Amino acid sequence: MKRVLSLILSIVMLSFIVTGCSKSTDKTTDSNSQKDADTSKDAAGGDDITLGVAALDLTSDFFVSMIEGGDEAAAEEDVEVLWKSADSNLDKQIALIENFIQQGVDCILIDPYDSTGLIPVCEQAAAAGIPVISMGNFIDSEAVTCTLYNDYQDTYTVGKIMAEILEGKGEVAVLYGAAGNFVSDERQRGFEEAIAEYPDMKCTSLPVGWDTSTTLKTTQDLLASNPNIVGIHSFYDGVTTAVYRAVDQAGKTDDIIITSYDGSKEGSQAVIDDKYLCTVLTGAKRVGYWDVKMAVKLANGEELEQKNYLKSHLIMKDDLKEKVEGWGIGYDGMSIITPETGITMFDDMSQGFDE
Amino acid sequence: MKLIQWKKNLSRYAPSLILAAMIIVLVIANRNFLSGQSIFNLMLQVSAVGVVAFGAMLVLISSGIDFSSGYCMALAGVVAGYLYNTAGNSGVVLIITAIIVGALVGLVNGLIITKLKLHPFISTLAMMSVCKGLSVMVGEGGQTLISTGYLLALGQDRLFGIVPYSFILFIVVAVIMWFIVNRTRVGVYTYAMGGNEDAVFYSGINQNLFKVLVYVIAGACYGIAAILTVSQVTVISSNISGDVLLDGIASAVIGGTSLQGGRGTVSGTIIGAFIITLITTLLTFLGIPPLLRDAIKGCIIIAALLFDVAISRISKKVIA
Repeated sequence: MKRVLSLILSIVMLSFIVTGCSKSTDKTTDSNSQKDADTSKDAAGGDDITLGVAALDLTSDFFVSMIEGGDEAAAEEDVEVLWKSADSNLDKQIALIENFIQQGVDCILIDPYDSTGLIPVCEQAAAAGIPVISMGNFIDSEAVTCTLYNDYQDTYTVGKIMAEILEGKGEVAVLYGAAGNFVSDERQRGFEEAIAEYPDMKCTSLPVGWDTSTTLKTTQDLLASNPNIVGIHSFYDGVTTAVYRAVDQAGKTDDIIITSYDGSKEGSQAVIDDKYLCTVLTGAKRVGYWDVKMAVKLANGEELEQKNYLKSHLIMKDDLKEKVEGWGIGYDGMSIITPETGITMFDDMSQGFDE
Repeated sequence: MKLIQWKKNLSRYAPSLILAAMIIVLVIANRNFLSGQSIFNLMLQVSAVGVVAFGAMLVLISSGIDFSSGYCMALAGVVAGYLYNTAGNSGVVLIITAIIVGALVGLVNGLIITKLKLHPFISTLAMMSVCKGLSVMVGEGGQTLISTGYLLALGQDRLFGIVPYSFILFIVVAVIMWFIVNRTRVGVYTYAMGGNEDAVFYSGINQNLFKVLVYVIAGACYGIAAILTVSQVTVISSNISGDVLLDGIASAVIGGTSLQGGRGTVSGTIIGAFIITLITTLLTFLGIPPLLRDAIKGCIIIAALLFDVAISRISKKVIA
């Protein structure tokens, strides 16, 4: 009986592993597993470049895509990437960085938990001759090169587009992730400040996490409690489907403008289908790809600016693009692409980065 | 005499009183709550949480606990989504896979608790991590769009234009749970295990079998909740669990299920699920500042639990 039960237990566990593995056969073997990996693998010896990534948390969808993009860049550059998770813990992140210094990696990438608490360990790395990249966050130290996303400016632009389409009047809402998360904060701030410039407009901000069922419920409640809403901006394509779903259920697809952010393929398709007005291509996969490429440059001794911005692209149809240009909205170097291009560029890493 | 009788029954009506109070507050705060759209939303939103709450209730009655509910639901969703795609968008495959995956996770939970003798608190917590990791791995950060007619109808459409099909499924699951809990040996022994585990042991009942069954049924509930959620959102991805872990357990407890085991009813859990769903609705309708939402939700849950405790003390005093 005991043996039979142990056998069942093993089969059950195996079936989960098989389902998981059969989906990830095309993942390169250059990276470690995406879950928290406490096994400190020694850096590859010799002349191979090794990059150490101390990520905040490797278990969300964003990081899955980021790792995919990063591994693609690693394969192109023939480097090795060690992906480690700090489990959202500052001390653990510091420990990871110290480990990387010990291992003698060629460049360290951090997804910083805290932009001041990490300065000492970054300067340690610099003293050991290892360049440090802070991904998505500005760390004020000579030792750190920062790769930043244009979230504030792009979301501000989307906010202005929405306001102009609505002729400067009406109630809108912005759905963001969670207060305290830098990316979410920037995307929320950009939209709120754009709307604040229009005295006849009101903006409600609601947190939805990165979760589709929470987004569905929050949007349903928002629409029911406030029938005057005419525009909703969602900070992340991964949840905007739920926003559209709620708007559709309320029968308000003609009355409410939806804008989104991130530029997933589903997001671009929704722009084509006139479900969303526009979105912005940054994309977790492109983030991963770009960050690894930047790290390789530093590892090879190239100099980079202290602040580097990931090239982002606003995705909208041509008729809106004409209007946007007519309104004079935007910033120097802003790129607007069609949703069809957005879909190809999501996977095609050869386009759309500033060299 | 009548007064004493009324006070004795008070603890059973406590959840209904809380629900009534919340509805009154909502109506006063924002008349839009009485609109058809709000009622429809409520019925839609309570469905998935309610089904999870039934699973949580069963486990709690058996004096266990299950922290894996949320991520088990996500895992059931993504595995079902993967096979849905592979089988050419077959809804039947999605439904069967979701329930089986949920039940399998429950089976693993049950076996770890009974065979390895690990406490449910730790083992289900660990399973929660396993499910989370596996669901992200299988989901690969992508989304699967649902295109099958009847699945979309389950999440979006209403019977006679009034009652959402999701809510009807919720009621069907409620009836099945009532039957299991009140008319089968599983139900009787579950209460017994929650009330007095030693007595169950000495009466020669195969306690392990029934414990495992409890977790399997709970897991199947989480699988059904996954089906409900993905059909409402119309996409499958690994980020569908929401607050369902806390909400499911809170629904059961507010509805009268005891954390010590041995007590709980399906009707109480239904009311608990409505209460929990209305709490977040209340936060939006009252325009509570976003930074305070979680804190206030927690406070309302604590207040509801304290009310429950106070009422049951009053009714106990009367009996004594």
